[in-house]
Amino acid sequence: MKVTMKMFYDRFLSGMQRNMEAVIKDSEQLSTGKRIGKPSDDPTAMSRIINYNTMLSSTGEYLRSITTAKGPLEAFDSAFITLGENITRATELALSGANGTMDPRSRTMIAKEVDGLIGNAIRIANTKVGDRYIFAGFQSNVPPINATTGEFVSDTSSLQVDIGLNVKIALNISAGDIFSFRKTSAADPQNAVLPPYNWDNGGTITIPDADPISALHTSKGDPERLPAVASFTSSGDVFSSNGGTLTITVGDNDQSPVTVTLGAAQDADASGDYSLDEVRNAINAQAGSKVKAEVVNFNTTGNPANDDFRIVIASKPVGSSDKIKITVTTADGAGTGLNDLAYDPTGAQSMLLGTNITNYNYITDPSHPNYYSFNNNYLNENNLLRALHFLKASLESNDVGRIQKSLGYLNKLSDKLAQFTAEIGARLNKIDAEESYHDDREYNVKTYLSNEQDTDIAKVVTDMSQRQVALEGLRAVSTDFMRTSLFDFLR
Amino acid sequence: MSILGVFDIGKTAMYVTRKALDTTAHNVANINTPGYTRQELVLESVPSGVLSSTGLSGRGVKTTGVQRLYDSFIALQLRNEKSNLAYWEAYGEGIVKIENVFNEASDVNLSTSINDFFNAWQELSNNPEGYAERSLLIKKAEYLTARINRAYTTLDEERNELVKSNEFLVDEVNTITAKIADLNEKISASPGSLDLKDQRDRLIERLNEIVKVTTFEDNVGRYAVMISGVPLVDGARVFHLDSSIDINNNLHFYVNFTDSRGVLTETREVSHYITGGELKANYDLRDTQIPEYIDKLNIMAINLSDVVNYYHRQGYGTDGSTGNNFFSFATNTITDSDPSAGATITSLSITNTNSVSFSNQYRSDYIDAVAYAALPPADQADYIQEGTTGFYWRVQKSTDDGATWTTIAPNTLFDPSDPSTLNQSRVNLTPSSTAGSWRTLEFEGIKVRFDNNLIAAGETFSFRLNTNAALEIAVAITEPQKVAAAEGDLVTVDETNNNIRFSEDGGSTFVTATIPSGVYTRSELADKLKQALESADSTTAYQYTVAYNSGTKKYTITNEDGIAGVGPNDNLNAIVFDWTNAASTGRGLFGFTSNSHINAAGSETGDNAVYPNIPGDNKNAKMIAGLASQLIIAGRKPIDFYREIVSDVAVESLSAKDSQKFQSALVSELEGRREEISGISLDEEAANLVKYQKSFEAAAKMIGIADELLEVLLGMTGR
Repeated sequence: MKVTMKMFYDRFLSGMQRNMEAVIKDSEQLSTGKRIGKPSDDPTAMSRIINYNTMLSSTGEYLRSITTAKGPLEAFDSAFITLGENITRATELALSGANGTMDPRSRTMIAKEVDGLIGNAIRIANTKVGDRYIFAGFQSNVPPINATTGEFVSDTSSLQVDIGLNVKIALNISAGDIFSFRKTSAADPQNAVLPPYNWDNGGTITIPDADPISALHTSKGDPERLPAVASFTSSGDVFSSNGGTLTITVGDNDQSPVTVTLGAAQDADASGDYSLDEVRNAINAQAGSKVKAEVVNFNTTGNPANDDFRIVIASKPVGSSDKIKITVTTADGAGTGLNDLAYDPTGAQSMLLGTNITNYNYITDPSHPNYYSFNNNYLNENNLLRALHFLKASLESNDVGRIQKSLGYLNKLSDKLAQFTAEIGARLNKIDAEESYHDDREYNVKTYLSNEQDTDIAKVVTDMSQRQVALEGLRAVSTDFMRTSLFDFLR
Repeated sequence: MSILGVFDIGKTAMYVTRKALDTTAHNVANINTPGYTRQELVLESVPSGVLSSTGLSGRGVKTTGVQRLYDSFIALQLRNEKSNLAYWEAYGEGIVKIENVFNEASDVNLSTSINDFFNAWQELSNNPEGYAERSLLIKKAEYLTARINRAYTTLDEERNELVKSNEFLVDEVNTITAKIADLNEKISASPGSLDLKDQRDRLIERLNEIVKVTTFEDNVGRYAVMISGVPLVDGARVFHLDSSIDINNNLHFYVNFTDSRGVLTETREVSHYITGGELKANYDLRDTQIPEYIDKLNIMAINLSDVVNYYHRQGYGTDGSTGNNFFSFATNTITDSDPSAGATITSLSITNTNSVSFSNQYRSDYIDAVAYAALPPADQADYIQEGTTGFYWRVQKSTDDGATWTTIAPNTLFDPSDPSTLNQSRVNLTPSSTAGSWRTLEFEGIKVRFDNNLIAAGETFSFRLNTNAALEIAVAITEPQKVAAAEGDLVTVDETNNNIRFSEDGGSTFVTATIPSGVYTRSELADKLKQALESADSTTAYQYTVAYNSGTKKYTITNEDGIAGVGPNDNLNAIVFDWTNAASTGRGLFGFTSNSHINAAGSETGDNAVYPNIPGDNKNAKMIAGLASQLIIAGRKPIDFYREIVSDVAVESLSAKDSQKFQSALVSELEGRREEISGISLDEEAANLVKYQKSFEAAAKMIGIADELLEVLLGMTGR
């Protein structure tokens, strides 16, 4: 094979070029610290790098979300601690208020302190973190509890944020779940969240105001009644065939007993007998402020077949039902009709069908006008403000029975609060777990990314020095060799 | 033979060696001339013409000419491979430019913008009431669209750049072919002009780098040059190559044939005959590679804006605004023959990147059962029934801007629950489960969603995908409060908006219905209104129906009247809503803008209702943030779709580099082989110099000896 100068030059140049290219690439890797400068340097690695960067980006975003979420959740924690202290204090006050030896003035003083607790609770409910009321729903720019009426004016939507792929956490607890509720009608003060004590709508008793704390009731369907009698299935069912009189006293020394007569005048439909409604109307019309009667359907199943209508009799003012004494004069047979209403708390308990329904939630229909009344036991664990108000109102009106009742409510609220504290704790735990997961993941992905993307410095440096040696050798040999040709030897 | 013959022989030897020295010197002189082929003197002995008693003896040496040491086979191979090398070099350079558009190795890149965009939505979902988060989202979105725009513009500029570069190349081709024709003439006139041949070979080689040509030599040594059989040079005649761009922005190449007087006789397109060289590389880049990436950017822009807009329109801003597009709808040109009634196109997305065509125009229409039954059976086959409704759909396409239309056949076997029955080349119809409220038509990689009820009169929709979507995509929302982070499903009813004043006797007496305060979903609100109306009834119990359409977000109140003169609901009773009275605060809840008079058994639909501001609602923002992990762009997640683009271009670029390396190795190998034959080695030439010098000396010596011999003879006679 003939070797020409050009071949030699070309080979030398291309060899040189190849080495130089590799050196420049190596030095680029060293200066940028990255193994890949263009996608085509390693297409599959590039695709993985984008993937890793996307993972890092979303992980970073989740970590930011977690930091954001911690603010309100920790605020809940401290809100619940303060609220717990409030309830403890209210319980203490209720206990001292329930002490029979305490005089009304001291109770009024205690009521003032309870009023302070109500204010505190409202302030807590209207806690703001950043721009947002944490106890609000989506209406986060409005204080969830109206500071004067105590009404819940926000919504109960849950503000969920993503703290991981398909991992959500709620950032809020609605004030409607613990503090208060929304009025169903603006016009009716009976629906007020903080209603007047024993609201009386102007003397006309259209809305029966029985107090179930200590009401008496009668039932034909009461399973404890012997012999068993079928339930009333309608408030129009016949209760008494003959009518008669009920003499009602409240307390042992009641000097002004009332007598309720069931005669032709009370037989509105002139049927000759008396339905549950007619008995109720007679009592409400004649007993004045002494007692109130209510016909209540004790059917809680919603199935009309189980309808069970009973008469509930409560004292007014309330709190003394345990002292109601009802003497019955009737032609009804023993153990039937009006005789069922006879009751004497001192021992001769002749109200055969009756049971004391203390703490019985007898109005279960939220649309019932008395649902939120004090006189319903509805006052459930969702309504902290109402419970405190109830305590305050009973202290103010010096009603020991209700002060004791309020203790039960406060207990319920404590439980509810504990449940929410646990809920917040659980959310914070979830966040912590998620955070450490994302931290780990971030670290791992960064490692993968570095493996794909970063220069292996040791390798590159070694490579470079090898190339350098090769390059120097090439230069030395080529220049030596090229310097001479046969022409040098011609003379 | 006389002694004088020795003089002659010596003279030929001297003459030839001097000639040989000339050739050697010429070789040495041209050692660095590109394309130079080593020349060599062809020697031949001169046979004796005279037979003497001593036998035959030669008459010296002569040259028959100078020849080029040239292997035409290697030259042909070299030409071909150089053409391929030039192709890969140009192609690689172009691909690198595309690669730079999608360079993900740099820190600022499109994938970061995509991630940032969705992260900004999540950030907003964490704090939906935040003004800062809203502004940031708009900024991030603007940055994303700017990045998509810039990628598009860069690619488009590159396309235009390639047109320029092609024009130069075409000019160069024409210059070269003119020179070749010129050289053809000269070579045919003086066949021995080796250096002209060298020149011509060099031109052919350069021509091959631009565009692959085939050549053959005719009997007088002239080259014919052809592109896949279409002549560029024929002897001394030259046919010019020409390029132009058609209305669809596609590049075409032509050869202009002229007759002997130079008058244009025919123009033949050679676009598809161009097989190698820079021209082919530019052609491939410009009309295949770059459009492919532009289309992918378009698909991304179309689907991203379509999906984000779809969800954004459902949501509410903090100012109660709704139905707004987030991205300005760069997507497509859509026309609806009856925009006020019937269906509307609410979404148009690309589901299959392989089947989609940006140049087709589509048209879809529907007819009711009556019109369908009236069609001849052949035409009925064009239509597909929507579920069990009496409506039939048809889709047509046009590839020539609407001049002619062909029907895309329906896929009658399509079952929406079984993806394997989907056939992209046919029309696949998915009806909604609630008959008639929406339906999607999928064909040729496009999925169109039509919402609302159809009308008996039928409608025609025509649309085409926007080939500039990636250029035009922009953020439509400028005011932060209009960013629809809220799903807005909840409506708050309180003292300020709970009263509806209405009359059941055509306006003689009015009563006020009160909706109980509360927070309701919109369909709950419809029930509440019905109850409120019915319980506010003055004397007789009328019945109403209040319906909420979640698609249009509109309420319809229907006065369900009875039979004339029978019972309380006789049909004389029109209801009148009094929206002007101060006691009537509930109008905004149902979106009525003016007093509504609903005739007996009639109904009235509100405009879009505006809901009280619910700033803490993040559901919609969360939904849109979640799109990042949904298969929204041609069946892929946004980032995966983008990754695919990057890895496509990277692989393309890498393989171009590899091909280039391989070609360049091949070319240098072939050049080595050519050098072996045609190259000049200084050592060889030096050796030749010595050789010829010695020969020259020897020939001179011969003449000297002959002279001596003559002197001897002459001396003999002179004595």
